[in-house]
Amino acid sequence: MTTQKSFSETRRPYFSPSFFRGVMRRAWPKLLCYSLVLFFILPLPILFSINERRAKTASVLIEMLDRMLTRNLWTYCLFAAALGVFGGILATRYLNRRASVDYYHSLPLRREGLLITHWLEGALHFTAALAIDLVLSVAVIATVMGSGAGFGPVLGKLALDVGYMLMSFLLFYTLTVFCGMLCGTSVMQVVVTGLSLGAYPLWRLLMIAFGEEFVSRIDIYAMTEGGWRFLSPMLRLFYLSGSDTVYGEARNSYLWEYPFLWWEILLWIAATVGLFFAALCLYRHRHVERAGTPVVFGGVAEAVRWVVVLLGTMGLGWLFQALGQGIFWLFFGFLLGGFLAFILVGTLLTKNPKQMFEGWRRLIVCLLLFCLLFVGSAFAAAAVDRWVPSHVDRIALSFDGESYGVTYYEDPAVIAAWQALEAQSSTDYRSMGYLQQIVEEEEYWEYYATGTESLGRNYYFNKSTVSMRARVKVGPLVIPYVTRQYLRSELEDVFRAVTASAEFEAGWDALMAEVATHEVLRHDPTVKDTQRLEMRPIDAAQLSMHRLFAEIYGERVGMDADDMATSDYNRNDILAPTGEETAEAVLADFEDVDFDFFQSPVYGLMTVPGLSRVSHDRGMPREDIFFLYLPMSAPALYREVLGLDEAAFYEAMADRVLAERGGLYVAKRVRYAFSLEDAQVIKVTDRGQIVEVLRGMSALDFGDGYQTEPHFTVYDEDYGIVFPDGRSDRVIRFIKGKVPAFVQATLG
Amino acid sequence: MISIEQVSKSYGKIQSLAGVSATVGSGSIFGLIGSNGSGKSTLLRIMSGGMRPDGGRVTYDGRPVWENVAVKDEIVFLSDEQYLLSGGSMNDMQRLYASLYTHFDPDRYRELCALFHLDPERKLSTFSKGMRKQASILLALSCRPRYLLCDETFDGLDPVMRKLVKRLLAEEVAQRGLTPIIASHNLREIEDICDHIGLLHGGTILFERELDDMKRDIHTVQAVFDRPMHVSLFAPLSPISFSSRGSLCTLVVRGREEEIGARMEAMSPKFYEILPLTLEEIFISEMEERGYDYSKVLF
Repeated sequence: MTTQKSFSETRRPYFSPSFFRGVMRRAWPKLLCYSLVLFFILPLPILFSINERRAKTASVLIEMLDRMLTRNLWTYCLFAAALGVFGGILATRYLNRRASVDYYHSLPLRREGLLITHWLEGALHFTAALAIDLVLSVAVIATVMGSGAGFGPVLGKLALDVGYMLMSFLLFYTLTVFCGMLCGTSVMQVVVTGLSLGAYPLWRLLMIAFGEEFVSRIDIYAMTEGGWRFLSPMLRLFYLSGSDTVYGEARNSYLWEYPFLWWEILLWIAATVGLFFAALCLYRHRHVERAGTPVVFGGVAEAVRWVVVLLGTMGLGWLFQALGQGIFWLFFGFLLGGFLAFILVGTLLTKNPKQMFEGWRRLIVCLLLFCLLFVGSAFAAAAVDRWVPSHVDRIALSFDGESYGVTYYEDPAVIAAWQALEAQSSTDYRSMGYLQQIVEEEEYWEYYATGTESLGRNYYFNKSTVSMRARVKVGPLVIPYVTRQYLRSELEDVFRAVTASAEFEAGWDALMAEVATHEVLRHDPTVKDTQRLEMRPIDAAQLSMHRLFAEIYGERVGMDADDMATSDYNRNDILAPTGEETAEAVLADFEDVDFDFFQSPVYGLMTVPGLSRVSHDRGMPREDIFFLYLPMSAPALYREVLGLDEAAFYEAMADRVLAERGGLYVAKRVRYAFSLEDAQVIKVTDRGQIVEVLRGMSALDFGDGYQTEPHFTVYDEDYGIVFPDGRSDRVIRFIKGKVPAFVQATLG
Repeated sequence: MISIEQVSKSYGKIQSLAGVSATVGSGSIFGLIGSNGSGKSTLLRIMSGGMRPDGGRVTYDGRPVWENVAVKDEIVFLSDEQYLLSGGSMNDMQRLYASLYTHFDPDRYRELCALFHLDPERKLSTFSKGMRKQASILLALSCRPRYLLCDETFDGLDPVMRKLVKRLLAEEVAQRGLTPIIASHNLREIEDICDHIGLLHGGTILFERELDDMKRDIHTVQAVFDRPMHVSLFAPLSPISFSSRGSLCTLVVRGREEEIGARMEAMSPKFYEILPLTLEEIFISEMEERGYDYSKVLF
């Protein structure tokens, strides 16, 4: 007996390879399923796209693939996440059937071994399916395009996408497995998984929806801001998708290339590992293995019940309020939503419709409490919205949506000035959206007229980038901030107090140093190539600016502000008051040019010097700013808006190119040419020819880094300009039909 | 030896087992009987090491079974619902068992396949209910377990197969000292094969004894008197149940046959006889004594 025992215990009860092999063998349909689903999102679209553009040159195809892989990443990740949930349910299905739970648990294998085996089986099948589809994708690309220059980067991007997909799958998969350990039925596993993924985003959405419905001055986003968004991986994926209206800020398309920060990746991996070990721990402590118990741990069942009731109450309340527009409908929605959610979740938890009302007394109490809390909060919010908060312990100044940080002031003089300002402000100013647009134009153009001569601290008085927030506590809920934007004249008293305070000296200089550091880093080639994420604050700042102008001019061109802000072309909006007429002129000017670019974001192509400076010149040394957008594609714009002579401008530009670079290098297939030798290059040193080249170009990017990827990249002829340092991203493409004749003749 | 010590288990508000204690000696065939919902299956699950009791413990030769791979290696649990690998064959199952159970005997497996006339390559999903049961039993016996936990194992088997399974179990007990624990409602089956009986009711073991002892200790008495007899007149016998039809009285009483005979003689019946009870009758009597409505029990 003793011998037998010791022998058995040496058989690695935590994991049995032969058992694992058996499980793997039997689960092959899963591999097929994963492969098929992935096939439709990875190699197949690539094949279709390549086939569609087969006539194009290889570099164009590569660029197209690059773009496709970048833009579709969030879709891939969402698919992988959905498969993860599906796989997680399958992996724990054996716990939800009486026969299998008895069978597996009586085998001479530890529970850890069972879970590890089933988890590993699902993970490996997905990984194998992913590998199969990756190989297929590579084969498709290689077959059509060969393995020349550019193949490597595309392969890298493909591998990166696949890596993110695997990461997404594993997190959602493990989360579902974890939820499976809490539940004894697949239905409840789906519900609990759904809640763990969606309860927080839904609650946030509802909070914001209510806030926007009822109050105008409370900064509702402040209640849910910050890193809390990472509480839910689903929210993070939405954020990744660029449709993060919850967070209130559209994403910069630049960030598409780096959707996850390194610490986010670590966080996801840590969460996956943590959830896995938590699942193991739960599995070991499950006392009720009788399959069919909806939620194994009683406390979790209660939490599920009341979270569903809360969301149901809020959700239906908001819906009825939106439909009926009245207090009666609001509270009717609350009561009905709470009741329906209660009986639904009660039925699921007891698996018996007859017991759906169990605990109804607590429901009544909770609904009454909720309504009371809501009324109290509404009063509190209304108070903050209408009157000056009675108690303010500090105020905050933020710039560019906090991209440059928030500075808090506790100096009584500052607070007193702020309160005095609040007290005398009229209700007319409380509709900030309206006010912002009206005032913004005046202030902005005033600033624009004075140019960049008056850079310095005074710039921050510009209303367009300054807001003040006060932390107040009102009623049963803590309302963290009240936000208002102010007229410049309104703020002068406060700013005098601010600038006179000691806090200002300490905080402001540090802030400026930080901004300057970012700005310097931004132009550092090493940082740019290796740590581009450092640029996020700057990107966010720029995005805020563009968003602002997109809102103003989006209306004129009939575009939604979000579309403008997230479009490829949002970086180049017209700032001229006569933009609409100018745009018409530009359209007429380019009537013979036929490419998609002009189809909707008409104004995107044109750039006015100054916009970029506005977002960069704040207190920074001028020499650090090295970029210039040249609106050569819009001579009419130049004439009418800026009053510049087009020809003189080109000539000045040519002089600058000769002086700084010694000439222009014009090349073919330049984007994926990693050195000048790889591309067909001619160096243009003749001033006249340079002018001719410049005339033929739609825009000129001197390698600032922000506009490293010009928009016109899908044309038949891939001519471009490279600069002497040979960096591939410092490439300007010619618009179709605008390639100078001598360039065409030389490069063929 | 299996030792069940104060085992309790609840499912939410439902108490399935409340401090069950029993001992099963090695080499005996233990029959676990009880009313519906008495906790037989729960007790077997706990005994199999697959379920954790809320209180108490189950040990095999002093070793706790919960999460103890070495002990579970000596146990095979045949649940009342067979789980067979989806899409697999008996040979697939055999490979799995061989990889997990130290004492799995491939020769015995082949021998039993031939005995049960089951095709080891045939997909298990095409098996009938009875065939699935046979497959489970033959795989379990191929593992050469020391303890076999059977939950309604004979259900679904035809009479020939029942006989075969009983014979196989008897052989295993005799040759290897196998200890089967058989939970069933079919008391006749239990009576045929088991030598020990445990009656589970209301979450506790009402009694646990050798079957022969049990039969020796409870009897039916049929007696004819020349006068009307009231139940109170039988008080010295402490009858578990009593019925009379005319002059014929029928009693179920505890005690040795000789003691009962002596008391009956003292009552001067015209005629009486003392009969042994079947297990079914014992079960009903015991349950009746505890107020269980036996008319609802299905056999």
